[in-house]
Amino acid sequence: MTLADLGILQTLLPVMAGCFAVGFIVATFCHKWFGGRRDLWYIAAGASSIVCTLMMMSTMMQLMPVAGARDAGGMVLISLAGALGGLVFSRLSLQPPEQAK
Amino acid sequence: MCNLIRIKHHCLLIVVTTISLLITFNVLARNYTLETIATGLDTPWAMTFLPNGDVLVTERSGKLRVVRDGKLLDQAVAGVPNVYFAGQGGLLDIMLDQNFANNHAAYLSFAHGERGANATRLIAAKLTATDSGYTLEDKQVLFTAQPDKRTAHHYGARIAQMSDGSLLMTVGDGYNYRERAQTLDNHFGKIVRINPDGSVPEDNPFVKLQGAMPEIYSLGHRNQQALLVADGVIYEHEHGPQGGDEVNIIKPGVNYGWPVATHGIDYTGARISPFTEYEGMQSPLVNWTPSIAPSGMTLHNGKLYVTSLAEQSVRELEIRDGGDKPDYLRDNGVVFKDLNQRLRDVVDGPDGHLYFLTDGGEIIRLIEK
Repeated sequence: MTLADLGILQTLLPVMAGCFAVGFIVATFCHKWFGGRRDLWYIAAGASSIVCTLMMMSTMMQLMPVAGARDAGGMVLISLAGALGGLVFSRLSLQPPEQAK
Repeated sequence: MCNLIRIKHHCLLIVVTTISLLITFNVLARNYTLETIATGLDTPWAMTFLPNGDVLVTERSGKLRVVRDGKLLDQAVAGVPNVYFAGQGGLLDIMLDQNFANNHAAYLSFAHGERGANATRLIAAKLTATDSGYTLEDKQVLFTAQPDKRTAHHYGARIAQMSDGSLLMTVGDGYNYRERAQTLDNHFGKIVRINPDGSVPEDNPFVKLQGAMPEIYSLGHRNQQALLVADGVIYEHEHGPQGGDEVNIIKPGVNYGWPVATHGIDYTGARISPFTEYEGMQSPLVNWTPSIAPSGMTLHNGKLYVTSLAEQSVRELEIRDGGDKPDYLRDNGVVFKDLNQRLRDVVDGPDGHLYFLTDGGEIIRLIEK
């Protein structure tokens, strides 16, 4: 692993930021309206938003720009990464108990 | 204060004079003229001359057009098969048989199929003159790349003919299937060789290898854009991704490296491979990084001329002694600099002049003084 291997981040980071922004906003409202475990909403949002984004790109461009997502195994790993991102966001965005009223 | 203004005026005068002189010298130094032969072509991809001087031009949208005496005929060639027109697909290359004067055989390559299952296909047909133009008759499918793909990119589809009459055609890696350019059980990222009747030549390099597609002539290619047989040598060039455009001399059974060895990186910025060369794989004779996106290629007055899309240029490659050594081809750089537009193809015309096909739908003849 070298810095050159992180070159994909120049494309992937803005895409992920965009899809996570949409996904996490939806998760926030879902949790507010439907209740349930907060972490699960964000995990689902993280996984599904990145998979949906990649599939939309693939459909529109008729090719998969992210090589790692070209087979089912790669897509599963990327969705797991999205789920992990959702969990991290859920935990980091929790208000500390003393500030919560 | 007055001195300062005077100095500024002098500087301005010098700059204007220098620019004027440079422009004048550039125009005077130009040793060629450009002549627009035809306009109005839609998504043109390849062209070829008929013995009577007519020019046949493929349009990716599926028409085979005729340019006669500098005029694009309204009537397209009849009998062209349906093509899959999407992405980079459609009607692609055309080539006349080397014995066309006697057999009227023409070869067409195109994207065949549909969105979920398409492939590069090669057909032969008899080109017959009619009152209103030309028609293709006796069409025969010679080759269809296997397996089908779901992408609309990287078809390859350039055709060439060897001195023994056998046909070569490039098949691209299909974009999503690049790793399969390294395996012999498919046609992705290969150059294939077949006989004019569609059969497989017995001396193809992998014809006796179990599990290998017998049509394969070479492997490890990405998206080949030109294929040319000249004096028994097969020249090919192909698009790398970002960087890594290549010119190769094709030999039977040789692995040209993609995607194990490449000078390019992916469009996403991802590294494709840590290797720019690899044992057992042939490195390119010319490498263009950053990419110029080469398109056509022709032999003219003993030199190779390569058109490009991204660089919007014509490059001259000098063929030197020494077989396939790395310095066998020398890139002389950009020539004919006034042709600065996306150039799709180049042909050495029967009148000895170079003809360029542009993405803007024009055919331009270059007349050297």
